[in-house]
Amino acid sequence: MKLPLDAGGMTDRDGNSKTQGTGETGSAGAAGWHVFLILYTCLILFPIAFAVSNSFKTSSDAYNTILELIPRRPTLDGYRQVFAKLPFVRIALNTFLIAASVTACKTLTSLLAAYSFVFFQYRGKKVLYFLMLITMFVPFTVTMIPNYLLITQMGLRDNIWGVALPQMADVLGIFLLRQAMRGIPKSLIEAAKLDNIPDLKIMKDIIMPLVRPAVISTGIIFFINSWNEYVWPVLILKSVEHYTLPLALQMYISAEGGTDFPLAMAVSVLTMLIPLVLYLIFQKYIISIFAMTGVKG
Amino acid sequence: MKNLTLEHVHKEYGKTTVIEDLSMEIREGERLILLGPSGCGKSTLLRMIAGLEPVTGGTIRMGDRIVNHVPAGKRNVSMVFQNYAIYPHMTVRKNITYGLKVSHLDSAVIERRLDEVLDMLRLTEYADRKPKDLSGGQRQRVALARAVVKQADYFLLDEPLSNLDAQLRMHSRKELVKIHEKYHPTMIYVTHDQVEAMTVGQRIALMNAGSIEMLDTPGNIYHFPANVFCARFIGSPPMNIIEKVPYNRESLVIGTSRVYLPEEWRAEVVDQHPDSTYTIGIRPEHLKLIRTGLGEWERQDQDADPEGENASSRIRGQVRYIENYGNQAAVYVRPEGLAQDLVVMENSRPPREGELVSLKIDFRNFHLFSPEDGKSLGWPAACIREVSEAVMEIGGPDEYPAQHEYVQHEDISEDSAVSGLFPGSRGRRSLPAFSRPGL
Repeated sequence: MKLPLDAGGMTDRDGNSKTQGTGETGSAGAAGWHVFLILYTCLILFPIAFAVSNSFKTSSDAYNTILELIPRRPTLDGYRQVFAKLPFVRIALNTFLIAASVTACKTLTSLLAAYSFVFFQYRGKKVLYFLMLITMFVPFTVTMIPNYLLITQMGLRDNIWGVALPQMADVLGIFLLRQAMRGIPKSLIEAAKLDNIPDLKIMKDIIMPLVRPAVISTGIIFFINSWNEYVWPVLILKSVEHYTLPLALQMYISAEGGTDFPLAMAVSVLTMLIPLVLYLIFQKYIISIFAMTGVKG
Repeated sequence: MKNLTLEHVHKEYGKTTVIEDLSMEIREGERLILLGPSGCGKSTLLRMIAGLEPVTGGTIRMGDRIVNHVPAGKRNVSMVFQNYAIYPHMTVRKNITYGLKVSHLDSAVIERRLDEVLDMLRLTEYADRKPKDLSGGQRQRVALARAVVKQADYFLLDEPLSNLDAQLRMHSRKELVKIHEKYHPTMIYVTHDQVEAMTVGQRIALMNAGSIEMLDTPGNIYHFPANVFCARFIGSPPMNIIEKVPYNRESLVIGTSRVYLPEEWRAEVVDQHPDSTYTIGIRPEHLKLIRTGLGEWERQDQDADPEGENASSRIRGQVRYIENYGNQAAVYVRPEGLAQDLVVMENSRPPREGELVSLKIDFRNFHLFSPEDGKSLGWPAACIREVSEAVMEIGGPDEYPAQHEYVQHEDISEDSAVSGLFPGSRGRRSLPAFSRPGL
């Protein structure tokens, strides 16, 4: 945004303004955009503020002053009830184990597949890649039933590994990491090959440090997606001690679960806490994946 | 044995043939340059030698071993890439030693080699810097150091100086020669820059469209080009080539000027290849510009009689354009009756544009090519002797240890792709091998 002092623009020797017109238009345009973006951000942030605020209210306050963002009588009752009524630590641990294992496996498989797609030469590579990309457009509902039957056959129903197993590879990860690796000059790999360095070592010593931002950001995306996943866990997990956080949340916000609002909001806040912390730590990497231009010398 | 033999090597990408039936032998410990225009297949050839590109057909032999299917890492090859390919996340030290450490070389040996190469390439003070903190020249030296430290038998360089400015390039050329003289690997150097080729190479393989046009010493390629392509490619400004020059009554008709061909050229070259037209080649520095007054030119003009008996050794023309290089000037002269300019190098004060001049051909440095296939028709023995001696004098006898070695063209096997490409090979005439002076 231009400062008001600058709005007059530069003047030449004859006193004629050179940039006045464009300066004012530019400032007004930028200001307009900023107002719009601030309003939009508030709109996006409101549900979060709403959840945080109501989690600190008493039940009656939550009903009577549901839209007030500052609780009249702040209380931690909602949070106390979470720990009293639910095996919360167990549920959080389940969620973490699933998200962490899914993230680790997806990242590893994506790295290996992307490396092969970028640096190996083999017949049918393009067709294979194309076929893999197509699976991105297959809706989850299509694979849901076969996966459910398979997991049941394997005896992994109501088991957190039954949730994690079908998610060990991800085309999106392969796509994103392939894009990142394509930015690495092939000659770096060739130089290593001339030194007789095995592919896994090239991957570890050369590729990984260069695509670290992309790996971290795709990892975060995988983690958050898995953390928030609802449909697949609800199909597989039956007992509360095997639940994940979104399932626990569902117990309190659905028609069956009753309407203990502060409790539901406390579970919501706790559910989003870990992804939020992760996001704050790694936000520069997450932004970088959207502006991925490859490796810079 | 560190020699390298290519036998009928062939390379195709899908339906596109990049290299077709190429054979040559690279001698142990020599500096061979693969020179040619962009897209002629020289980098592909180097990459095939390195093992980075599969060979479609033919054999690559390193010493006695056929290496077609030997992976790059097991060929005992080090390579400097055009973009240097240094690892951006590693320090200079780590870049240089990474390959050695992975090969489990003794750490004391690694340290000794590292110190030696850092010192030789003046990188000691930058050892702990990362590539992003280095200049272009320093990065190039890191790439060089990484290749040198390996002490491989074969040292391959793919246009290693093309990203450097002119001054650094000159310096790096000397550095490369010094490195070669220290370790004596078999060095194969790809470039499209003729100056690099001439100054670094002991032999040059001049490539065009996937095949070798000529394989010889820089001196021979310059003074005795095998064909029109070689003649044009080497030399700046390039050789003046005039195609389809009529030959009759012992003289060449260049535009309206009739130039008398000396006796030895007629007897030793033209009579062996009788024809009505020839393609002729004269380097700009082998044309002498004679500044004549208008009257003189007019008097000569009266003698202009392409069909008649009057012939001189001069070409009449008018100055069209002058390129001043500071120490000398390239004068573009349009000969009378010809649709192309001839370039002449002039050391003294150049003439003015529009001035009428005469050009005198130095027939000791003259070239006749077949009008059909552009191959050289050879040179009179006296010319070869004189030019060879003159070239040796420039270098000084001490700097030309191989000055009395003569390359016998019979040495080249008949099935070799390069046989028959040598100038004068039709007459089985031997040419001197001009080795380059140490830089």
